Amino acid sequence: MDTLKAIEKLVCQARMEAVPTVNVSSRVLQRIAMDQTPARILPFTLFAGVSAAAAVIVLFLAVNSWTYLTNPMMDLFAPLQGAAIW
Amino acid sequence: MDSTLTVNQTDRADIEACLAGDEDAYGRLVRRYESELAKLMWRFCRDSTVCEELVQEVFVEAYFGLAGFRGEAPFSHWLKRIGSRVGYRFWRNQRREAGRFSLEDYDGVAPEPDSDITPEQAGEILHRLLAHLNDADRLVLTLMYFDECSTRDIAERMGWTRAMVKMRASRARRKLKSIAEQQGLLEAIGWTR
Repeated sequence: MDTLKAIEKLVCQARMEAVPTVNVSSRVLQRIAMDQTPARILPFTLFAGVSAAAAVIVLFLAVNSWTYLTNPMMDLFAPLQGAAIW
Repeated sequence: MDSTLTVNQTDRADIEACLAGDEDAYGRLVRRYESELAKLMWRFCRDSTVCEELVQEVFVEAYFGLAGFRGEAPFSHWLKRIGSRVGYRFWRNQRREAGRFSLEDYDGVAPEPDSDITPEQAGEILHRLLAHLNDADRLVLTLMYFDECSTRDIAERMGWTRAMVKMRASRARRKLKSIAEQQGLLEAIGWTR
């Protein structure tokens, strides 16, 4: 017998196969109900908000401090700038 | 218009009720189509537990996409479209984990001449043979063989072009023939005469 003919014959046979019965309606509805529940992200959102606010305050203080910072070596050289060398 | 190509009134009423928030309506739709869908999903896995999971997956996806159902074709066509995509995705995920089956491991059929094989055995043999093809070729032949889809149906279901489906179908048949010969299909099922 030709291989393709054999495959076709198998296909005809396989189409008559009895498929196991399924009963999924209750599980489908359960999963849908679960997927529809909004995720509990409010605590995370609050935490992220507080962290962002704290970061802004720290950044503001850090920038201010930076602008007032002077080079520690300046004290060594500053008096020399006015001194007459000759 | 042909009534087999449109949504029937019962389905339409249930879909509308479901979109209005009636969960029982969706339960009725699931019960109406679960066995039809199981026939399709069975071809992707041949395992009753996995088959149930796949059917479940299809109905969950269908529920969340229900607002996009335009009602231009029967509800079962739309479900089968989702089913084909879910099955295809299942194969792609499974491909990474599993090895291929071989007919050498298959001892379900005694090689007796004139013996007729059962539909279950035929299904199992074809499933093993088709598993040697790449996923897209396998899908085309699976839908053609078991769901009696035309190239147009497959193209519509998968969003592929018809020319591509035709090309895949012809290439897949050639490949399947050569795989069946390599695996000694005729000897394995006793159809050597």
